[in-house]
Amino acid sequence: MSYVEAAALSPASRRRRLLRRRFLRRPMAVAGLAVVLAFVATAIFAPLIAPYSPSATDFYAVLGHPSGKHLLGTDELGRDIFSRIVYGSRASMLAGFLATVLAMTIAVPIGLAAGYYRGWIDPVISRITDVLLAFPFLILAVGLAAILGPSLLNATLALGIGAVPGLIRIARGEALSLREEDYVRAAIANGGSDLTILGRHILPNMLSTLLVQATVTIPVAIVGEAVLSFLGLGVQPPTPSWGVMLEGAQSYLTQAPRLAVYPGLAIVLAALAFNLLGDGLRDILDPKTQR
Amino acid sequence: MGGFILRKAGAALIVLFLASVLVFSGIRAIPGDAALALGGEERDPAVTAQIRHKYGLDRPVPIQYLHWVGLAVRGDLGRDSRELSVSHTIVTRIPLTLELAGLSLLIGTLIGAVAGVLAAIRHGRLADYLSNGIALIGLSVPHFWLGLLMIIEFSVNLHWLPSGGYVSFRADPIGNLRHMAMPALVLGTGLSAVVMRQMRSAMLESLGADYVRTARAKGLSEWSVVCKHALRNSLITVTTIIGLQFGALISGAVITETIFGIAGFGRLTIDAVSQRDYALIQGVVLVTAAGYVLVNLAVDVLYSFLNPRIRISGGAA
Repeated sequence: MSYVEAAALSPASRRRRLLRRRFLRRPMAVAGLAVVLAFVATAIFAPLIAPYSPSATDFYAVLGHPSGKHLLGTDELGRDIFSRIVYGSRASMLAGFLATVLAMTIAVPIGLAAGYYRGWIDPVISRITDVLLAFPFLILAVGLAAILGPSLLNATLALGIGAVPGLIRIARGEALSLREEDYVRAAIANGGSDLTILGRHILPNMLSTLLVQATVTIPVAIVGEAVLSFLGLGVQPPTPSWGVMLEGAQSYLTQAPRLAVYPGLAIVLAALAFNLLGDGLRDILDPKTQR
Repeated sequence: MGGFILRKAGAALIVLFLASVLVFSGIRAIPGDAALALGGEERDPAVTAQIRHKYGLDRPVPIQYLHWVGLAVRGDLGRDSRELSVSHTIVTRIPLTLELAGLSLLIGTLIGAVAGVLAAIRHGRLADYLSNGIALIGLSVPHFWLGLLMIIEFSVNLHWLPSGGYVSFRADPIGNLRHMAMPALVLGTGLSAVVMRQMRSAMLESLGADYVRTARAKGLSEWSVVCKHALRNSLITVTTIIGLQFGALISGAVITETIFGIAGFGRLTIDAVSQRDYALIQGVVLVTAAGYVLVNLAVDVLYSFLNPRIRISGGAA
């Protein structure tokens, strides 16, 4: 019975099935995916999940301990910490996903062009990549914040641009090696246009690498957003963000150290989940690490 | 050999040139008239023109760039908004950051290398899973949060270490190390996770190589196989990684110095931005880029000493 079923499947869906089975065999990766989805859902449905408004102050319950009323206690203005963490996930997820999408949109076409066309384009792009790499992302972000002014959008922009040079290198390397594959040579010999070859043959074959890269770029951007907001270069208070919350907690390290603990735990959990997912995807998609 | 270094130095110079153009034009991309900003409340056109002339803003942009670079090469990065020499400020701040970076590199490389080698030797066993798990957590924990946690535990609760500040090593060596312990540990742990993962995969690769099998076959002790054969070849990869980590180290120093109140180069960067002191920002960013280029040039040269194949084939990369 199952034999007939398998034979009826197309090669593509059979591959998908195989990958799904391989993925499900990795409990850490599955757990990572579950936590990632939970964070995304939290960000989308924040108003439904949070018991209080993130900006509602209660001056009778300042620096309150965790209780039935306030799950994780309250901060220096009596705001519910749990609700602020829930709302804070919005800035983190937004920065994480948008920065990665931005970086991919810029880096992949450039990397493809450099790796596929070679010629004069390749060294020029590689040199420009070197120049961008000479500016650590935080310095780049700091510079951008100085020019554009601090905001979540500009922080996301800076994080995205900061991720571009590394991704260009990866896309270029992939295009460079795929270009020598027989089926690409065959397509060239068949007279396929550059656009067809890039879009039909090279890009689809590097998607798995790009997917893994995206999964490991997102946590970097999430931590980056927290850092920039912590330094006052990202989300501006009173808008809740995990970095902003940690910045505020600095003044209360002696009285209420838990203010510094919970938002940090949220960052670690989110970043760890994406990293676990990325590691799992790399394992199942990259045949070189197959055991 | 000489040709290889010359070629690498040439590429580094080009990168440095483009970086300086980027820094120069970046500052000019800031909306608003610099002369008006410098004049402050003064809106008299004659005064504005005078300021424009004083700072050379009335000359063509390429000439302004050449003038700026010419001075920068001679070590003059101009004056900040308080009329202090930018180069002098930077030079006084750098030693603190160098000490922090050096200690972190030491901690990160030691922990990372030992854990990486251990994980590779014990591949697929408890030590491997344990170090992998810790490294993954290490990669996910942001520096600044780790710093805050350490302050809570070691300064607020246990009173073991000062929560911030700096004393020079010459004035008080013990005090200096006490102040540097937490910042260096914070910065070093992040690095150790990266080094550990690279070390592990490099070691796994060399342990599977033919020369290691040969070494085992001729009856060398496991210790000698691991340390003399596999480790030596893995160190090459790790050297490059450490060079590439320079940027992360600078970014990390910015955060760590902010949390622990160390008046180093990283702190200066943040101060320059929050005060919107453009001459200072320009200087700091240029020095960072130059540092990155120089470190990577040094790594390339070191790499060619460690791996003769690169020297001989001329280095494809």
